[in-house]
This record gives sequence, C-alpha cells and structure tokens, in this order.
Amino acid sequence: MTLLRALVTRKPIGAVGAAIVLVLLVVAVFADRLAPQHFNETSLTDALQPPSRAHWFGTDELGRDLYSRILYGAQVSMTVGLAATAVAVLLGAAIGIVSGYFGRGVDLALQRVVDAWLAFPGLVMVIALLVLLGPGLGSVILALGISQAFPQSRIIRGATLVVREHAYIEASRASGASHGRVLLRHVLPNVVAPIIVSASTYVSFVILIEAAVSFLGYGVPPPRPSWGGMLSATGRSYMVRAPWLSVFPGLALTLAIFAFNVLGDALRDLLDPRLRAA
Amino acid sequence: MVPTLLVVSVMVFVIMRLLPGDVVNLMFQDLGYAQSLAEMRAKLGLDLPFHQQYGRWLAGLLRGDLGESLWTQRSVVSVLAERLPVTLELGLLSLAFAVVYGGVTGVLAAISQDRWPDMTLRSVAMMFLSLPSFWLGTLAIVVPSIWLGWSPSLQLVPFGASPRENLVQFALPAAILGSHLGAPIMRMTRAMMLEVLRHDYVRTARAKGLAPAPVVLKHALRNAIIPSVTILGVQTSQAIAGSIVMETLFQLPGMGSLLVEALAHRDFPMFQSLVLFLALFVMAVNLLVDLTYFAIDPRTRAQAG
Repeated sequence: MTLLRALVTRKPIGAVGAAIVLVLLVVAVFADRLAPQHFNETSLTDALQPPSRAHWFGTDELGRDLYSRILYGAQVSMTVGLAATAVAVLLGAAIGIVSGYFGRGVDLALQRVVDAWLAFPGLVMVIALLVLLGPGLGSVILALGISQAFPQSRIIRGATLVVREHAYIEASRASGASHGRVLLRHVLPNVVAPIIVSASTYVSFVILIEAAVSFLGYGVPPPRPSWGGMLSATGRSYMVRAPWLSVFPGLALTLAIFAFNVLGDALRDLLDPRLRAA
Repeated sequence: MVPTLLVVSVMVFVIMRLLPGDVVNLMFQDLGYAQSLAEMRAKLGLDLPFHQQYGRWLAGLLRGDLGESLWTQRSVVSVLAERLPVTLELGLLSLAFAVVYGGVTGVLAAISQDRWPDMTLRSVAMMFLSLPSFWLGTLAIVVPSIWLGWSPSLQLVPFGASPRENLVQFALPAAILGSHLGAPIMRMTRAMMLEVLRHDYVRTARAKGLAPAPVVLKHALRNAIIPSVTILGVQTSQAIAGSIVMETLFQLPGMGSLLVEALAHRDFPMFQSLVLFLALFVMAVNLLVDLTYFAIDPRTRAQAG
C-alpha cells in the first residue's frame, strides 16, 4: 500500500504505466467478452477494409476484425511477458544463488556457461530454443525465460556474494544448519530486493523479444494473434495497400512496452535508491 | 576467453544436434543429388558419432577452416566474407548513431535538468526505448511510399559501386537501430553527468571562472562517460540481434539473415561457425571496452600499476 502511494505521489509517470498495465491485463483476461468478434472469425467479403465504425481498426486479408485481434493479442504479450519473466527469475535466482553461495568450482563452472550464453547472439539462440521446443505458447515462454535467466543470474550472484560474507550466515552454518536451509531461510530473503528490481525491468524486454521473434515467424503459431506476428505475416505483405495492418499492432506493442518501461523505472527508483536512473 | 569459447562451441554443437528436422531429409527432398539418404549422410560426414563430428569441426576451426555449408557446399569462410561487410556496416553506423545521439542528448538533458529540454529529451529517449525497431522500420518503408511515392531500395548497392547510394541505403535502418540503442546511452550519460556535476572539483572549476562549456566537456564529461562505455559492450550484442531484424526488413544480405537461413536449413557447420564467430566478436568488443575503460579512467590504471 505504501508502495502504491509512493508510486502515485512521487512517480506519476510510473503510475500512468501501472494504470496502462492494469488495463492491458484486464483486456487480456476478458478479451473474449470485450472483443466484438472472435479472433479467427473470417469474412472474405470484408477483407482489407480500412478502419470504419463497424471495424474500428479495419480488417485483415481474411476479413478478420483487427480491433478484436489486437485485444486477443494482449493475451499473448501479457502471458509471455509475465510468465517468461517468472521463469527467468526463478531459474536465474537458482543459478545465481547456488553459484554465489558455493563459490569455487561450482561458481567457476556455472559462470563459464553463463559467459558462453551471454556471448551468443541472443535473438538467434531464442529462435534455436524455439525450434528445439516446438511451436506453442509454452515453448515461447520457456525459450524466453531460459535465455533471460542467464543475465538475471549474474545480478543475483552478485547480491549473493555480498550476503554470503555476513556473520549471520556463518552463525547459521556453525549452529548446524544445512546448506539447503541456509540458502532458503537466510540467503534467499536477502536477495529478494534485487530480484524484484531487475525483474520489473525485464518484462518489457521480454515482450519486445517475443514480438521480434514472432515478427521473424518463430513465435506463437497462427491463427492465435500476437502483435509481433500480425506485423510480420499480414502487415508486411499488405504494407502499402492496407497500412492499418502495420500501424495498430505496432501501437499496441509500443504502448505495452512503454507502460512496463516506465513502471519498471519507477519501481526501481522507489525500491532501490542505489540504482537510481540509468 | 578460450574456455568460454569452448563452452560456446559445445553448447551450439549440442543445441544444433538436438533440433528436430535434419538437413539430409530437407536436401534429399529438395535437391536429390545422392542415391539414398545413407549415401548423402556419409557424403556430408553426418554418419559419424557426435564426438567425432565435434572433433572434426574443432580441428578444422584450429586450422582456420570453418567448414562447408551443407546446403550450398560453399565454404563458410567465403560466405562470411560476403555477408560480414553488410552487417559490420549496419552495426557500426547504428552504434555510431547511438553514441552521438545518446551522448549529445544525455549531456544536454543533464545541463538543463528538470527544465523543458530535459523533459523533452527524456520523453524522446523513453519513446525510442519502447518503439520496436521492426515496427519503426515497417513505418519507415510504408509512410514515404504512401505519401511521397518513394520507397527505400531493397537491392543492395555495394559501397564500392556507389558510396553515396550505399550510405543512403544504410542510413535509414542504421538510424532506426541506433535510436533504440542510443536511448539507454542517453539515460546513462544523463544520470552520470548529474552525479558528476555535483562534485566539488566541478564547483571548483566553475568557481575559478571557467566558462560553462569547458567545465562540462573537459571536466565533467570525461568522468561521466565511463559507465556509458560499459553499456556499449552490451549494446554490441543487441546491435547484432537488431541487425537480424533490420536485415530481414530492408532485405540486406548480411549475417543476421544468413543465421536465420542457416538455422531454418539445419545447416550445422554454417550455423555453428557463425555463432562461434559472433561470440568471439562480442567477447573481443567486451575486451576492447575494458581496454578503453583503462585508457579513459586513470583510476583503473593506478590500481593495475
């Protein structure tokens, strides 16, 4: 509650971002009630209609209502954005905490793998993972989550290295606590703040990468609408004849990324004064 | 660097072999230049156990032989030589754009903190950060063609053939990519400038009567720029990702589109060697960043010496 009040009074732009995120979540959850049509309801006689009263954002090459498809598109972006970030945080925290806490050989081995992953051309490795996992929403979430877990783990490892040196860790070990108990009861709670701060900035990045991957044709398979996918398949081939097909999905995408960006910025400033700005 | 590269090589090798689908099947159906699948497999060296395939590839790498494309039978090195300049040009131009844009607006925003130029420049940076570059690129192709009847050339003009046309062709994708890459640089430069401008030595410089411009440029900027250099290392790998999208959109035959093609064809040697090459490149840039750090921050030199 205090965080919410601080957000509204001290970070008004961040509060706007939070409001947009909330709207997008509502749209995603209630898309089937809010959308005038189902996302895959085709009507070839209505193909490529410009925006009108009947079709606010126009129609695509199969006569599907673009406004409805964009509302449904929020489902993919929001689900992927939040779920992939959750995967990245959990996996990244596991790697980071284990690497930082045990140090030595474990740390060395894990960090070489992280180094290697960070040197990879990221987008291509996400696509490779997607090919490996097969098409589907779950694969997109997993692929993006895994790829973001490595940079995430770096931050958490750094935080763990600091926590590890504290006297209460040593005291806990000396009093006979197992490694597992120390990790869960003492290390984890003390690295939660940096985890939340970095996670809040990952969501927008994940949404952007999902859209880029869909744009390249490797995202959530059709007919399920995703904003990046709409820009790729239909948007590009009808770019000049039906510009609304490239304009509206892009606007939706930009709005979502903007909202998470400013919200992430605000949360970081409020939660972690040391990491201000940048 | 070497151990990391080895891990990279193993990882990319394993990932490639795990992928469903197989170049032999794809090729047999499409091209059919062998009697049977088994013969084709043997021709391509894919009948060997994995560790031998890996050993062969690694031995080749050590001799500077990156292998041959399974798909086109061309040597990876020659394809690389053809595609690399395009990506390098796009990457360098967009990074240059990013540094100039991010640096200049970052300083301008910092010296006008909380007044309208600062607000405007920060909003613009946030906008560039939120605009997906492939969407901006699509608009950049669509809008002029509707209103002006002009569209960017989608046929590569080599720099040697016509430097002017070539630069015009690259300007648009480079600016789009550069604006996205420049936004974090702007934010970092601004934040660091604000911090540095509060330091005593800046106040001293002002107090002894120095004009505002030298204070900002000679005293403050030099210290404020250091973290931005670090970002540049990260931005390089993002520039590679961005160039994949830009090359697809503007139909530039570079490394990015080559990588996506190689993956789609399951062209093992091509993909593996390209990824390894890019990984080496990213690591080299990060090393360069560290060295630059060393050069512009005397404190790191004092520690090392």
